[in-house]
This record gives sequence, C-alpha cells and structure tokens, in this order.
Amino acid sequence: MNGISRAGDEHCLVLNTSIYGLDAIKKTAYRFADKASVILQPASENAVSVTFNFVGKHAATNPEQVIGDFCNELLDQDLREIIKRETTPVRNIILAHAFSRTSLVEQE
Amino acid sequence: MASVFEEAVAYLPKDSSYKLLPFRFIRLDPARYVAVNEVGEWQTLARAELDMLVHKTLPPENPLYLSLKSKHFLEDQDSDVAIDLLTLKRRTKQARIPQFTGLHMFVVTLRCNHSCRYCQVSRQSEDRSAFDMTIPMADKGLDFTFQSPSRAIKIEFQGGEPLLNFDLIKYIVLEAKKRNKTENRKLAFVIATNLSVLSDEILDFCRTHKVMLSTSLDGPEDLHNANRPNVGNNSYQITIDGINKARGALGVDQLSALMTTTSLSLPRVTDIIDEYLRQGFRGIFLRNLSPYGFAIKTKVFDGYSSDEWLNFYRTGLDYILELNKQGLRLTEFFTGLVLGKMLTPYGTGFVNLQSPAGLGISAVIFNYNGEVYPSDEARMKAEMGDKVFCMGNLLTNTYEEMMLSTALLDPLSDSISETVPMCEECAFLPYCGADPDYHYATQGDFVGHKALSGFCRKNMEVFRYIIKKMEDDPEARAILESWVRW
Repeated sequence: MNGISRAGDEHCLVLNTSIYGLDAIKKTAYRFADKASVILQPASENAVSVTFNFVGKHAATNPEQVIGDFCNELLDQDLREIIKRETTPVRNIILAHAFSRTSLVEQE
Repeated sequence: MASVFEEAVAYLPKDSSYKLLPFRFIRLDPARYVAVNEVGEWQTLARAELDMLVHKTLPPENPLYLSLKSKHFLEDQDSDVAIDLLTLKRRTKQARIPQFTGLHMFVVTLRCNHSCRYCQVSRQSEDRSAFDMTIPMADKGLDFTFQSPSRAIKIEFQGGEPLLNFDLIKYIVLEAKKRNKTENRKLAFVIATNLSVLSDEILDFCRTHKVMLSTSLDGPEDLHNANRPNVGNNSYQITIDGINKARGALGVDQLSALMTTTSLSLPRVTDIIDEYLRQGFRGIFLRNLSPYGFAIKTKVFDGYSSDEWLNFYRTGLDYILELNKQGLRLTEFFTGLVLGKMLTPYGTGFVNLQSPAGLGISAVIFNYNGEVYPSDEARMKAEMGDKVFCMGNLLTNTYEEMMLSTALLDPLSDSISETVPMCEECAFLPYCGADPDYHYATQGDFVGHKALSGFCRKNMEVFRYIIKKMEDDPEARAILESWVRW
C-alpha cells in the first residue's frame, strides 16, 4: 500500500492534518484498539505519523488490510465531524425541548 | 380532461438548499451504510449517497431525498415540523425513567436441588435454612417496593429454587395485596422456578392470586439434562411434567420458559427451537451466557466467544423466520425487543438495552440476607465475593440511602451511552444500551473499551443482521414487524 513504511513489526502511516482532523485520527485509532496498538506522533507542522503495532491474531494476518480499513474508517470519521459540526446545536435544542418539562432539568 | 393537480415537480422545494438534522452512520455491509437519526429511524444508502447528503448535493427530486426528509434526516424550506416531531419522539423514548423500578425481585432462598453448569449463584444444600430470607426482611422489601414511583409493580421470586421457601412467597403475595388496597398499583407476581417441587397446594395458590410461573428449558432432553443436572433425577422430565401440570392448572399463558446458551447448545439451535415448538411455546429468547458467578468459576463463560453466539443467533433467527414463512407462529424475543426500539418511539424495560443502564431504574433485587442490588447479575457477582454494586441492606438502610448510593449512581452516570467513547458516535446508539455489570466483570470498569467489548460486538452484529433482514427480505420484514410489542 502506498504511503506506508515498515520497520520490523511496526508499520507507519503519515497523515496530512490539513486534510484529516486530529479528532478524527484519534477516534479512528481508538476504534482499532482490538487490532493494533496505535501511536500518534507529530511528523511535521502539517503531518502526524501513525505507528501500528499489531496485536493478537492480526499480527499473523495481513497488516496492510487493517491499515486499509483504518484509512476507510478515517474517511468515515471525517464525515462524522462535518455532520457533528452542523447538527450539534439542533441536537441540543431537541434534547433541551424533550426534557424541558421534566424534573431532569433543574430550574434556575 | 385537465388534471386537477400540477405535475409532481411543481411540489418540489423552490430552493434546493437544506439543513442536516442530527444522525449517525455506520457501515452495514461492504456495499451499504446505514444512517440512524436521533430517535432510531434508519435509512440505508451507498457511500456516494451519504457523501451527497452530507455535502448538500442531493437533489430534491431524488427519491432518497424524500425518504430522508420524511424520516427527519434533513429539513428544507418546505417543512418546519421535524424538530418538534424529533423532540416528541425523543421524550417518549425516555418516558420510562420517571416511572423507575417496576420490577422487584425477592431472593426468598438460595437453596436449590439442581446443580446447573452455568448457575450464577452459589448453590446451597436443601437443608441450609441459614440461606432463607426472613419475614422482617420481606416486610422491609415490601416497604422499599411500594416507595417506587412506578404505577406498575411486578414482584418476582428468585432463588436458588424459590418454591423451597413457599411459605415466604405466600406471605409476600398476601401482604403485597393487602398493602395494594391503598396503593392501587398494577400489581403482578411471577415465580422463577425449576418446577421440581410444584404441588397442588402451590398451584391452587398461584391460580387464586394470579401468580405466573417462569421456568428454564434449555432444549431437548439430553441437552437440558447436561446443562441442568438434578442428581439422581431426570431434570428434563421433571420440567416437562411441571410445564404440563402448571398449564393444566393455571392456563397456557400463565407459564413462560427461558433458555440459556452453553457451549453444548451452540450446534443445537434448531433442536432447541424444535423443542420449544414441541412443548407448545410460541416464542423463545436465544439468551447468551453472562460472565458472572459460577459461569466464570466453572469456566463455562469461557466456553464460547461472541462470534460463536452470533452464529448460533443468526442460524436460529433464520430458522424461526423460515418456520414463520411456512405458517407457524414463533417469535424470537430478543429480536422483538430490538425491533420495538427500531420501529416505535418507545423505549424498553429490558435492562441491557437502555441508556442509562436499567440498573435500579428497571429492577432491584433483595438478596436472601437483606442486601439490595440493582440487578440480578450484580447480586450474582456479590455471591462470588465482589459487592461493588451493593446498594445497602434492607435492615439497616433507608430507601433514599440505597437509591442515592454511589453503588447505584456511579455505574448509572458512567454508563450513559451518549457520553461514552465510540458509543456517542455509533449509529446503533438509539437501539443499544449500557451494561456496567458486564464491563466491570470483563474489563474492570463500568464503561469498558468498546473495541474490546463482547457486549458491543454482540449487539452491533445483531442490529446489522436485523436491518439487513428488514431491507433485503420483504417476507421476513412483514414477520419481524409482527413481533413488535409496546
């Protein structure tokens, strides 16, 4: 796979942070905890390196497949960030309205 | 003849801009995503369609646009009711919370005459009266029960084998009915029993006072006897005889059965379902083992993985749907509970499909020694020596002290899925719930890392499977829709 460097058991991917948000990268890394331990480090002003140490059965299977899945998930996380930015105020309004006349909301 | 109506295009919004409303999405399979809105309505779509939706390039004349608009995924200048409707539905989903604690379980004894492989409480021999609940404790338990704000109260008798302390069951039923003359709650009783000591006297009492029975049936004779041995006796035959006797005395609808999946059950799901049909049941709950009590101690819990249970569940659900297509009427209850969350604006009382978790909110359990726990699983854990969920003791603590105890409130506040990493962005959040018991048992904290969670893996795959059935098989969809109860 292009963009992946390998040193021993470690695989490293460099991501441009002007394309992918750090939150999206971190959330993706968190999701892959069952497949690899993931270390994030700054690589340059606009880049972060993602180092994968594969664990369990994934150490013996196809690491590049897991990294490919990681990249796809990263695109999903990026899209989720867009939705979240646009809809969080509306979600808050819905929740505030939904619970406005219950004892779950303290009166000022 | 001139048309009364304009062409369809005339009714499209004049301005093609729209706003997104809150939703989450996840991959359904390699070809599709599923987007789920704040109240559980879903839409499957291709990745390209998802991108068009989010980047506001979906044209109003696209059928997907109208579907997404009708399900409140987007709002355009034509409609301004979406937020009000979403609010109403969201509020309805949580309507159970102010009516908390409908189920109160009394462990009237820990004594039991069975030695089940997965039994989740320490078994004691039948002559150990030290493991019976006392009348003063039962009175305190009833004091607690009637302080619940719930209009409907169910009292369930648990064990051990609760019928080994039938005198106390009688006392509690009569005393609860007496108190209810002024409380006016909708009161119900159920005894969870292996039916082995069922007598005419017990059945007469149950009939007179409308006490239901719930028993365990793990499958055909060989499997049931292997899972639930009763030394020197045929446990299966005792159960079947008890089922027939109870139905004869109380009526068919007054007895239900539950099964538990062990490693021995995994290759036998169709046999188990056939056994339920043979015994006249019209529903089955394909229930997985919980990582508590003896199931851990005897390594039974380690007997299979979430994926193995999922294969068991999928094969079972396919078989049940096929039977329904052939004209038989049989429901899989867990699927029915999930469908209720998917297809109605209502929540569920099922403890592990709620956020916050149903601990204490749906149920509490009074142990034989007066200790109070927010779930049966928490009491099982206590029997293994870990009392982290113990809310207090009926004899020494007040209702307020126990319901406001950190043993209850900490796992509740930690388990609100909307605040949990991975859950908060998961499309299946409206269908799922939290299980602090499970995550404490398997990962040592109430929340757990969901990437490593068997609970998460199991639920997500069940949701995916149900949605795919609904989307891809119209006949299955009609059957599944008929399972929804509220």
